[in-house]
Amino acid sequence: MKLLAETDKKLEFLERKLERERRARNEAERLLEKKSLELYNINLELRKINENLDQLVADRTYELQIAINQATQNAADLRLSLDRLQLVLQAANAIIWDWDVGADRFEISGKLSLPVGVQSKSIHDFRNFIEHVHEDDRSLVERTFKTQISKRESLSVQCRLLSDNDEYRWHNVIGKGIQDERLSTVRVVGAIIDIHARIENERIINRMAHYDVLTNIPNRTYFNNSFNQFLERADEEESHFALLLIDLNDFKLINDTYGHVAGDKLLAHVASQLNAQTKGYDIVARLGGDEFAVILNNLPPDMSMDDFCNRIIDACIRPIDVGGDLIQASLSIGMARYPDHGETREKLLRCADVAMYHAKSNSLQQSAFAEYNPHLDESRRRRKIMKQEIEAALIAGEFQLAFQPYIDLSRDTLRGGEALLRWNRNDNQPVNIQEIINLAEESRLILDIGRWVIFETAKFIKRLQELNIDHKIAINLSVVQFKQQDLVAIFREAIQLYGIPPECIQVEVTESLFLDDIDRAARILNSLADMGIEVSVDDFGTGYSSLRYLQRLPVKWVKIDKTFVDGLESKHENLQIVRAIIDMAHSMSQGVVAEGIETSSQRHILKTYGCDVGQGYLFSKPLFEKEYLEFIDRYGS
Amino acid sequence: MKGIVFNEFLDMVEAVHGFEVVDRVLEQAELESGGAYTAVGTYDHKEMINLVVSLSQITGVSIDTLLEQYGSHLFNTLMIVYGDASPRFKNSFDLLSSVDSIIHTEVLKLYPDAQLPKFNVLKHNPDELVLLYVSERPFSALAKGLILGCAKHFNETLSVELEVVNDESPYRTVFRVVKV
Repeated sequence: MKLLAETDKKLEFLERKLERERRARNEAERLLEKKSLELYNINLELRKINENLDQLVADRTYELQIAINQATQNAADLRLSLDRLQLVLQAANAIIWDWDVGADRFEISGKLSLPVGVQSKSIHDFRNFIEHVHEDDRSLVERTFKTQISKRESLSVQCRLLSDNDEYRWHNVIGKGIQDERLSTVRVVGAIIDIHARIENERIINRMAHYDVLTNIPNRTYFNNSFNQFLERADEEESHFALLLIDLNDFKLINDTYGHVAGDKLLAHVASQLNAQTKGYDIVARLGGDEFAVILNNLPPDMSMDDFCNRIIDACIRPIDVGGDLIQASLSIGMARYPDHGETREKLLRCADVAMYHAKSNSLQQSAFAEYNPHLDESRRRRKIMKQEIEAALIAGEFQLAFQPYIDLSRDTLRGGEALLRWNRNDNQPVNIQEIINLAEESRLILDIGRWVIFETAKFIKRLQELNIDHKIAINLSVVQFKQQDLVAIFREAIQLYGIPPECIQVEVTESLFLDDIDRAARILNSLADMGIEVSVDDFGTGYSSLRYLQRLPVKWVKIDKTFVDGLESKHENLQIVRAIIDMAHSMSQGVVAEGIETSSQRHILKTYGCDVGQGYLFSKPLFEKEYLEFIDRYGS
Repeated sequence: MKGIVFNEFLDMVEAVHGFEVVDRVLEQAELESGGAYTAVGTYDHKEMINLVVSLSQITGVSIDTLLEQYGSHLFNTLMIVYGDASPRFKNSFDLLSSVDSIIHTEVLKLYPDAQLPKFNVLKHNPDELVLLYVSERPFSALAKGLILGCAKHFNETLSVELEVVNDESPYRTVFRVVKV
């Protein structure tokens, strides 16, 4: 019973334990279910988080892809702009330079494609760079860089840089500085552009604008600019200089006779000779036509210019060969000094011009020089007025011809006469006819006057012919007429117009005609002689008397100058000269005329020595037409 | 307090005193859970106090002794269930000084809501280890039993002296552990 009771009790304990175990299991299942739900929720949450994360990753990936695309595009754009920059640099023939100012690191990148590059490899710092700049441009380049850095401006400077082939070439160096927060320039970056061809072209253009193409010396523009600079400098330094105006005498004639090629050669010859005679700081320029100018710098104040002028004349008149012909220049040089004669370009040019015309008037054919002095102004003024008066007189018919008889000494008969120019001024002022003729020659008015004389003489001969007087009239010809007129044509025209025999005309020329261009003189005189006109040499013995031209030219008469006749009675040497001239002329079958016979004894002596013809106040002064006709009447022809 | 602690206690009581005592303890303790514990469940620690008090009344053994015996038993069980980590500790001091830093860190990974006591190391040399036990619950005797179980596990003989610093929550007790 006790055992049963214990068993029951044990059973009861076990039932209670079983009940506890069941509750514990239920609790465990409940917990498990709860945990499962929690896990499920967590899982859901995680999945959601995962999805979000996936979305985030997708978003980020997309953004990344866009960023990559953008970066790729940027890189391509950058490449493109770099390529573009490279092309632009090549097209501009430019290279890049980069100067780190603080570290003094100077880098040059790129290469000039045409035609040679800068020696960039040996440039590492600013000093290296400056060493590659042409010596003459260095200070400018250094100054420009310095200014850029201090003023923080863009820089641009043209300079010559040493190129690969060890030659300096023109470049434009441009750049821009980069500043730090304290506004100090820390870096300068820029480009070097090859502008050699452009600069060379500019130089050629500049040269064309300032240099005379024919003679390769400065032209008037350059001369004027230089003149102004000289004036400024001379004013500052109180220095002296001389201006020479040089004109080629009768240049037109050379062009007309030998052609423009010859004329051009002569101009080039003169230019080169003037250059050779001057120093580097002097200026030789062609002002135009046949006019040159020289400026001689840094002269001692009172230094004589005679030697220099003679030297340039000697150099320039050296004959040059033009296609077999020898031609030579003849110069008229006028000189003015700064500051003595003027302090402005205009004044100095005018003074030199006055002096030059003075030189020209004093020597029509020969080279000559003259220095300005105030008297020349007066003389020039007077001549200018007189020239205007001569022109007016020609038009107004104030000129007249007078005729001075030629007497056959052995027969004492009238042989002919010499036509002489007279100016019958309306205002009755006295006239120095020789002065008028000189002025007319200088101003070329002699051409008009000479033509008038020829026609007037022909008219007079016609008159004589009409009066049945067969009479020779001599006409004096100027050297200028030989050079600048077709005398043969003029004589032919006059002879035809008045229908007179050419044999009634005689021409008188001076020896100086043969000095200049004897060939031309011979050609004209021979043509005149062929027409039947006689040729007489005037003033024989005073100039460059030469047997050679007497032999070569168709000279019929030799005229002994008055100076020999004057002293005939008192000076033994005059007697000898006159005798010699007569003998010589006769030996060449030429007749001899003595002019200026004023006394009977002179006539006697001359007649004794065999002089053929005489002229002078002993027989008659020059007579106007009416009186001359009366003289003919009286003397018998 | 985790259900495993209760189950292990009841298993120990049954093993030592038989299932009748277990039944009486449970009846007498008047537990809210009715004594049905699941190892992974969480229960009020007062139920453990009630169980120990009840067992003490039935057996006449003091509460502290009962807790100490149970602590020693529990360590052994924990080593069997969660013993994977034990090889990393060379000896008892090594393990005891790592309770906070290693063992409780691992426990919190499994049971984030677990309320664990603190074992601050005040002194640690080869022969002596002084720990400060801080807990919301008055289980310093249980802790002593665990320390002794640990010594047993490593075949060491340790003397453990307790000095109660604070006898109400938070309970503080200094453990002086010396190798014998």
